[in-house]
Amino acid sequence: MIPTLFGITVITFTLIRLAPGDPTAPKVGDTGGGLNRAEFAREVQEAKKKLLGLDKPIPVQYLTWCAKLATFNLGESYSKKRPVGELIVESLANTLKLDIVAIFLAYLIAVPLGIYSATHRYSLWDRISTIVLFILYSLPTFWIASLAIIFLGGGGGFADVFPIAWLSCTTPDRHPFMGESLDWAWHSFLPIACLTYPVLASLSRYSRAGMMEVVRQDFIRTARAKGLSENVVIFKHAARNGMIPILTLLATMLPLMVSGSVIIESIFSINGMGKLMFDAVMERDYPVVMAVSSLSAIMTLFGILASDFLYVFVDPRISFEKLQA
Amino acid sequence: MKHATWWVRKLAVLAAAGSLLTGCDKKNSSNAGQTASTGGAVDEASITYDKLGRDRDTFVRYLPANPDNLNPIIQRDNYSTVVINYVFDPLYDYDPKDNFLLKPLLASAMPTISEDKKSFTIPIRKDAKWHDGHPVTAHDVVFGYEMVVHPKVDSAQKKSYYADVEYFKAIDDYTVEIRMKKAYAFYSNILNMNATVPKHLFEGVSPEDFNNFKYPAGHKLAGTAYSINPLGFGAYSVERFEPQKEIILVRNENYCGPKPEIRKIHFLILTDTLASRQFLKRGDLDSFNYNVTRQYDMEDKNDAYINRNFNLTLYYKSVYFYVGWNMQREMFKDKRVRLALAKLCDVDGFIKQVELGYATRCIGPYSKEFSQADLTIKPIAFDPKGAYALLEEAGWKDTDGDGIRDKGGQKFEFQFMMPSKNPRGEALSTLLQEELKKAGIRMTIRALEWNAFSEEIHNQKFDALFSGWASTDPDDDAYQIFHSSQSKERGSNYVSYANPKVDELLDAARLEFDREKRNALCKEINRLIYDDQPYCFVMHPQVVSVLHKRFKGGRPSPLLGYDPRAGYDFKIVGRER
Repeated sequence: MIPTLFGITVITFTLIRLAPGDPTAPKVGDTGGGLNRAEFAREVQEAKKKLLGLDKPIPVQYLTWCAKLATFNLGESYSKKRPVGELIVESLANTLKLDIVAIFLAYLIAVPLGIYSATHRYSLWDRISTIVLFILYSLPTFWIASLAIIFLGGGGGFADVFPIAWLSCTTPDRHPFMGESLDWAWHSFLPIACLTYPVLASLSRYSRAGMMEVVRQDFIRTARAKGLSENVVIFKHAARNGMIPILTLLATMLPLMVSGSVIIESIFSINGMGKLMFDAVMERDYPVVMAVSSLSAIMTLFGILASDFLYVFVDPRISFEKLQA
Repeated sequence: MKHATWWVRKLAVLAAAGSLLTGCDKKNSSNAGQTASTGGAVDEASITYDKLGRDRDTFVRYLPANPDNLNPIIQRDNYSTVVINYVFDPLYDYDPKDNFLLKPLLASAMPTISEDKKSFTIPIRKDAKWHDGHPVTAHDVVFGYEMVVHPKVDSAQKKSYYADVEYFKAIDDYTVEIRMKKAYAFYSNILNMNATVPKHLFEGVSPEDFNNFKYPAGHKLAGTAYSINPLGFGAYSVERFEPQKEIILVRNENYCGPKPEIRKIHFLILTDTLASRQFLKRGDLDSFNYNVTRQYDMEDKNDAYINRNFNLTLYYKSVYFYVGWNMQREMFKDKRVRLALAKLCDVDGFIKQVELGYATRCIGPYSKEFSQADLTIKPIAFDPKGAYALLEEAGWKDTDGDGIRDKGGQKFEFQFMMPSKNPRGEALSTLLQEELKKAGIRMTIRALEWNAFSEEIHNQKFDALFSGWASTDPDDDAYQIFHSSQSKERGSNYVSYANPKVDELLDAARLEFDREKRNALCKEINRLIYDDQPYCFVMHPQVVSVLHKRFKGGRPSPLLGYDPRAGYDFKIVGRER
């Protein structure tokens, strides 16, 4: 894990520095006043490079970054002049809450849906759900989110059903009767819906496929033959085996939870990780880019590890003891 | 000068910089018959203004991105500038009512300029107070300067404005002397800059810690970053700033200048244009700038809610867009070719079809709103025949019959570079490409992400480019963009324009302290540059904006738009004092 992580950070570090653009370049061609503008602007830029430590060779900069990381110092954002850790904490809380709820909901709906479709294969309901889910899957989130903003946001004569920005009310119009969590739930309804439906659509297909794989196997026929009730056959014998691929997918979603969605966050003006990373990349705010991408990398690695552990619990055929033996 | 394309990229920089005015001045509208509800008495009963229970005296506007840093020394993004302008005052401000001449703001009188034109002695107001009650003194002004120029302070953008300053000195508690290294007539932006910070707050703080200063223990804002809640002395102070969400400014009741009418300014940070427009349509915003004029012209113009509650204002900002020709390329060295290309660029058609009439022709490097531009210049008309003749005359003929003009074995083909996701650039380039094809010139189009685009133009790796400039100063020095010395070292004259006569005039203007005479020189420069066509000057876009009817916006400034600060005639209807 450590070497992989090392590799990822080296590549990210190199890539972002190889990208054109320079955080010290005078912004928007602004070289200020003065008689020798171009020359002076260059001087100022050199001074800024030195101040930010960007005058040193890239490997040295990388090592400095690693040394700081070892003491849990993620550096300071170039533009905001605030510790990166602080910025991440602010954004991560929002992103995590949204994504955990969205993924939980997606699983809650997708798994039973998939099982039902698999056990009632080619029934009318299976066909309908297949079509609906494929349509959902192919609808771009930005479009759905925009439609939601137009038709549910209260502008232009449409009903004002849901708030269309942020995760809480602005100061003067805070609803005194609405508790903080209710306020949050109301504000995050649209973002969560937009985050949930594409995941839900793909997950339910995976869960259907996983179940179909299992239900036609011999041990299911045996279970039925020995007179077990259909519920026991499906939920105890088939589902536990059929859901294994779904668990692996959960692991791949772990990094998504921390990296957030730049589209949804921008549309609903949410201070989240996706937005933080996107703005940092656009501004070449290296410390923020490095911190967020490393965090995603760590979460990916942990996700893989976690899914391996989960197998042990779900799949009776895999266990640590056997490996040792 | 700033790149205006950045403005386009960020969707709405200047939009946020705010700007509009009540529909009272119809003369501002060049779009006859397109004016929405203008003028007339306000029917109090018919307008909706406090849907969310907000105070009537609160002005609600939006910012399309989060302001990054409200410390006036460190800040470098436009949205921060918008907010900082309310919380801090520069020494002098441009007077929108008096031809944009400087007028004292923190200073109490105009500067005394020494015989050698290098020293400015500036008296400071004795009644100015920081929001915490401490008096603002000359020492604060000097301290601000010291922070800007300190190498450990990350103030690159401000530093470049002080390139020719030798020192700032406090002569006594209320007098500052600014000494320049050389005499320089375009000094106004030095005096107009917000760079005064409270010395008493930063006592004993090292320059490194100045960058990320947090209020110390014991202070009522202990632990809060100065960049989020700066202590200032302007007409407003920060009451609340929740990053990526909202900023609330409240009027400074101890402000030494004339008190603004608006008690609170509430900025909503809305990163999505569609969402911000929905906020407008449901009555949660008091002002809105249409970045896509089509949205106004095709949709909101006929929206009953908007017509009932908002007044339309059309005005110009000091921004222009251009196509630059890289004169290191052989084909663009010939003035006749550049003129021919200008004749092939159907700007009037572009303004009519793409901008829907919300723009005017640009006739040179100076903003039409200020007195430097020569308004007698006639824009070059769309004239393909004249262009063909010029191209023939310059020796560009199709000798091998392949439909492309050539000269000395070289074909007339070039690449047109522009920033990506720029609807204006896309429309213009397609239009031009089509016209050039008919003329026997092959033009390819390349769109680049902003950082990459900026890198390429400063390395002069382009043939032609589409971009824009925004002036921040009514007394603009075109030296940066058109003096031949600025074509090296990544300077802003990346098209490598060189005309000894223009160089001479640019040099002369910088030493001419008489505004009238200087403006005459600028007009001369304007004529010469338009004649040389280093750029195909395209257009000044019009700002299409609406303001809630309960406000009267006064005259919008081409620099700031309209502004609720005192001195801009921004009033609450029915409550004028």
